[in-house]
Amino acid sequence: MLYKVEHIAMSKDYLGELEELILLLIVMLKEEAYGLAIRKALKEQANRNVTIGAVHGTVNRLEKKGLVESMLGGATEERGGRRKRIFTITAMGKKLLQNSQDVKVNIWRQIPELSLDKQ
Amino acid sequence: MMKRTTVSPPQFAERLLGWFCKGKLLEEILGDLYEFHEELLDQPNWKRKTIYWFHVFHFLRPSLVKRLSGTQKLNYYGMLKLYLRTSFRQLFKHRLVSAVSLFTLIVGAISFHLIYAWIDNELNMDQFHSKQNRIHLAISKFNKMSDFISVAPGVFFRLDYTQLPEVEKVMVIHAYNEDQIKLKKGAISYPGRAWVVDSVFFDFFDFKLRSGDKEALKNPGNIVVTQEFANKLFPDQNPLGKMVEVNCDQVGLYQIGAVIEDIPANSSINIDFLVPRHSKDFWRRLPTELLLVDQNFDRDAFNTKFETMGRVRERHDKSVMSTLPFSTLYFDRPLEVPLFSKKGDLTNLRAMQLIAVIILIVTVLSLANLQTTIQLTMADRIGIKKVMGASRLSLGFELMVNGLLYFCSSLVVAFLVYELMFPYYLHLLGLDLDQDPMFDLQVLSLVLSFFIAVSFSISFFKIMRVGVTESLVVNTSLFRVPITQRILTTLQYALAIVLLISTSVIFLQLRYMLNKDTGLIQSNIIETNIFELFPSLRQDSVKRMEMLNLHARVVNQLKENMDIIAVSQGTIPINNAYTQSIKRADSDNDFELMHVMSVDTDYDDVFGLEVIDGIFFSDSLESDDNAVVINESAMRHLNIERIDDTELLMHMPGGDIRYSIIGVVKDFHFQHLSHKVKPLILRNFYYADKSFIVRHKAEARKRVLDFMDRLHRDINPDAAFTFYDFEDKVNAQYANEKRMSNVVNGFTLVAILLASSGLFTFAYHETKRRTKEIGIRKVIGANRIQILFVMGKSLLFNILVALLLASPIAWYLMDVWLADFANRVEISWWVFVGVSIVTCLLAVTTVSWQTLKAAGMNPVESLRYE
Repeated sequence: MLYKVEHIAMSKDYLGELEELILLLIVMLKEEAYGLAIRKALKEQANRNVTIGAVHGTVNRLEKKGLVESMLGGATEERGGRRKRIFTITAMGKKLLQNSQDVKVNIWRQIPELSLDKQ
Repeated sequence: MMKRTTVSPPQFAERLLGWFCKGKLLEEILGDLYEFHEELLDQPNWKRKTIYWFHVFHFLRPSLVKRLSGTQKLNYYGMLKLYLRTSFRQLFKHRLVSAVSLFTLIVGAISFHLIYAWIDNELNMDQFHSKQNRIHLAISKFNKMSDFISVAPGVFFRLDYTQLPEVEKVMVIHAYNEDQIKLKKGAISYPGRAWVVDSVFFDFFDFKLRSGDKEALKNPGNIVVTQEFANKLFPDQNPLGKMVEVNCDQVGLYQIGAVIEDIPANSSINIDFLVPRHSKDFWRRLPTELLLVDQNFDRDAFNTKFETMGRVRERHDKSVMSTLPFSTLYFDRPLEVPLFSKKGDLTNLRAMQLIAVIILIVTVLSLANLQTTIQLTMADRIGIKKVMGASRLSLGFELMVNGLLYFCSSLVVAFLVYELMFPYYLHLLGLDLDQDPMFDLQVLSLVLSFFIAVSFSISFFKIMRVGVTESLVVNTSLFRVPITQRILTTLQYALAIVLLISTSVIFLQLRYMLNKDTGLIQSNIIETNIFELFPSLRQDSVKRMEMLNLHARVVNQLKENMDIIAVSQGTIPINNAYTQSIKRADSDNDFELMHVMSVDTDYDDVFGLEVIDGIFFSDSLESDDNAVVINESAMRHLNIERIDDTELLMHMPGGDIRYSIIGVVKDFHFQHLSHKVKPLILRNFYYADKSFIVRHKAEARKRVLDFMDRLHRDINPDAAFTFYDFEDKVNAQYANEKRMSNVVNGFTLVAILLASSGLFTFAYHETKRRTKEIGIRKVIGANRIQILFVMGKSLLFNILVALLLASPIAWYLMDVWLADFANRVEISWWVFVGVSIVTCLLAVTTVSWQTLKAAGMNPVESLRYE
């Protein structure tokens, strides 16, 4: 049976590839989801090497779209006495992630042998 | 516990981020960066900084950068926009002056950088070898009186280096040049420069390997080639493992065991391949020896110990050993060393540095003049701004934006032109340099910003001195050119004249050397190699006999040819004399080193040597074996009055040999003309496998070449016939002087061009200022020439002052340069007169371009608004 994909409010709210990855990582990292940790996770999980600036740019964009929210954490010495900003995913963010996965699963299911090689 | 930071992130980076990042994001950004910096602490300093700054610059993205508030937009961004726009307008309004400015900037920067790159390359010569300071050349002499020679003392005196704990490794090298060694692939020969070395080569020198490994030379069946040479032998193939034949005084088949990268331009050692020395037990070229010493090497202490080491053998009880550091050998090489293909010349280096400074000054002055001219015409605009309350700072900021515009456009053009024209320059100037775009970009931008910063500041401070009322009330084009600008122009012209005089003198000296009668016939002499090396009696006596028969036939054929005047297989008289210890048999003096050349009986006919006493060698004389012919200098030097009474003693390892003198020839130059003719001894001795020197009748060149080609093909069916003109080889000796002449010529042209552009703006401004005056003069009845004279008078005065300033300086500099030449031209007065005339003509031409335009105008045009 085919899954019908629910239409999401604004069509411009599609997720870029890096955005989606970072959003997922924010879910995974929980209380530790701040800029540098996300960058590190990106390297470990997806083998992607990006600059800190790129991570900051992306999370700010995500926040603007309302997919994540943030609050300031505690200051630590190894940060020169500066506070971290911890990101958490919003309900809309979760929905979008879910949706994105559904779209992909749906397409995968339509490929008969579930393999790209035989196409 | 966390590792404490001892190095904090660069303060400046944090402050920079504070300026442009959104305030509310700043804390986390700085925090993340701080933490990140901590992670980088185990990296080397430069790497850490590079990575850190890389990340800092990546915060420059729209979502993180501060938005400008409305007023800020107006004040900063808007101002910048306005300034950019006015700068563009200025650029187009003063099209001519702007174009000349840009041209000056570009030419100045490129010229300076070209010289700088060369100087940099010279000063960094051989510095890429990490053990450069630990390598020393071992030298020796037979007694206190003789000169040091570079023949390996370890081999010659059989020294035991294990007695010297400072010496870690010893390398013996036989250096072969293109004429002496070749690689053969099948029947095709590839002549090249080679070192026959011990396998420790890579312990001494850090030439990078492209493929294979550094142990390759340990295997006696391997050779190592450079990438460039490998490409010649095996184009588009992997050379590793291929077989080639080495062909010199030894012949053998070798496998390519390693390939080294092309030798960089800053290497005084330039080789095409390396052959392991232990692959044969004898190599004919004289060995040279390099020592690798330990870290705490004290050369003076070592030399004291080393000096007497050769005296353990009784025969050499007066011998002296010494060492010379490899690091100073490039510029300071007191003796012939066959290892190096390049030699630095401090005079050249100083000259180039001087030229670089002159170019720098001339460009800055030129640019300052040009900018002041533009600024002067805009004095009213600046006056209005001042009235409106503009501070110096904001006026300066405007100028900065203007400068930035110049900087960007000139950098792009200069960089592109430099990179594209690079091979062409090198060829033109005969320089050896590697192309390195990053380095070029750095130097070019540095030089350009220096030019712009200095010249713009000069013009800024000049224009600031103009009062507000003055600038608003008086018509701005009526400002007189400031006196400082006149002085600057004069100074600039003086520098250009120094170069102009120098280039003339260098040219004259070069022409003198190329045309000087060396005492030898130079034209219609060709040199060609017909026979490969003959095997020695020990190697193959049958083949040797065959070859000698063949040789006799060839010599006969050559001698029978009616077009050929004379044939010889003697030493080619261009720096090929060797030295030998000689003294008068009847004197008690020590032996001294004298130049010796081997010649045969027809040598005097080939080169037209004039015998002034006695006779030259001839076939009929049986006693020639122990006879010599000397030159006049030798006769004078040894105080010989009658040659029949005197005999010479030659010091030989097997025992001294007596020679009788049978003749004296007129002095001829057998070395570079910077040397005086030295005492020379000619011996009657030749190797049958040496190249043939043939003098032919002038009109029969083609016939002779065809004949030689046939002869060559008879003997070597596979190889192509090649020959050299003796005259070319003589001229090639002066390549260094020629290059110097080319370089100075080129940059003189640049300096004059730049100085003229300064003068041009000067004239441009003057003409504008005095347009009405010219109109009035025309109405009264002056013609063009008279007007040109009136306008040019003051400029001509500047030129004369410049000439007076420049002449003594140029004379002094050239006198120093010429002091190195034993045969030199005198600097005559007419060089100065000639240069004066050229300079004045040039100045008049520059001025008349503008003046004649103004003088040609209808006076009504310029006067009608009065």
